[in-house]
Amino acid sequence: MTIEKRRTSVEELFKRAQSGSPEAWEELYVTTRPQLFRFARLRLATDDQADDAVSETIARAMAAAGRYRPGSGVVPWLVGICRNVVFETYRSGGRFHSVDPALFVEQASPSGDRGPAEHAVAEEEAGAVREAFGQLTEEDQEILALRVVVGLDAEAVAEVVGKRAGAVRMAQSRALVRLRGHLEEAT
Amino acid sequence: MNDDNDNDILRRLGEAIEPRVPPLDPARAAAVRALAARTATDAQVTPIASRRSLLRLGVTAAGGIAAGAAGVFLVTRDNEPAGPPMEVATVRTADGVVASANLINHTWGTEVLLDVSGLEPGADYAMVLQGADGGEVSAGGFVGVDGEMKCRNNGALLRADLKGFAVTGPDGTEAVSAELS
Repeated sequence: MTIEKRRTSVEELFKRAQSGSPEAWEELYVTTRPQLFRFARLRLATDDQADDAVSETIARAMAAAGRYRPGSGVVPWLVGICRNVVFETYRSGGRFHSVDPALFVEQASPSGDRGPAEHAVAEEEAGAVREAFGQLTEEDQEILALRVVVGLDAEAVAEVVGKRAGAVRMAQSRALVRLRGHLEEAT
Repeated sequence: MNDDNDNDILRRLGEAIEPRVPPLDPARAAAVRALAARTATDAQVTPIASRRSLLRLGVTAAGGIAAGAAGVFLVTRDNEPAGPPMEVATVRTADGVVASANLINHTWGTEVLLDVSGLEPGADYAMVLQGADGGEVSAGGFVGVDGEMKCRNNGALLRADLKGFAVTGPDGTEAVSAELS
């Protein structure tokens, strides 16, 4: 499914949910969970905490469904709610950490078309990228994470963080410059 | 060229940092549907604490939600968001049980935040709110586990009408109780 078709599908699903369909809310949760989970998991210490954050996000969305403004996009709206949930978890003393590069080591798995040597090289490079990302400020990390992990464009990121799209593009560009700088320092 | 460079590093970054998404827990999905069904039929605004509790109940929530029944935190982590003011309740406990409790006075009833350890793992415990008129209102229940439990139970009894609460085990013995002024 193309990004546009997927976006339309989520918007239609949300309309059904707004009209009170429990099945639509469940489907909305299932459909948006991967994006919301990935965002939450980058900041929270365990899979369980991240899934709790996603559940809480949908619960709050149910309560706030009447206040949703059409046109801003359901996914950015949900990500904005999730962002607040994650922040509250941090503020209340929940386990919270800057991105720990070691967290993702377990996720590497041999690609079917790579030999062990190629896989090792690829994993070493990925490790360097994670280290460099971990050295960025939280603001830089968030701007880039919303783009590459959640898959939001600049307009959608702007909606989430409360900035103009142009400011988001500039912030992303600067974050990438800093990321490259950290990568080059490491080599 | 800059766009190509940016796209390349963005691709590498995405590959490097994207978290693995674990399989969907069907109980969580069912809990969402149950919460939505309850929200659709319940004219009152459902407080966040109760919503969270329902979602944590998972299959139990999907199976049916008794009026005024509790939700339970069955974990031992501190992840409560800053919230309304709480009243400390002085509790009495059975031998081997350690507990502390706070109350939140809601417009729809009273919430009891109970930190408790020393309960029998696997045993069913029930909480009741005791009214000043001698009556009792169920505040749900939970299953005992090893270690400390952080429970949030709700009952449809206003703080002004509340005389105390009690947690009883399967044999009816009180594990935790409190008398309130």
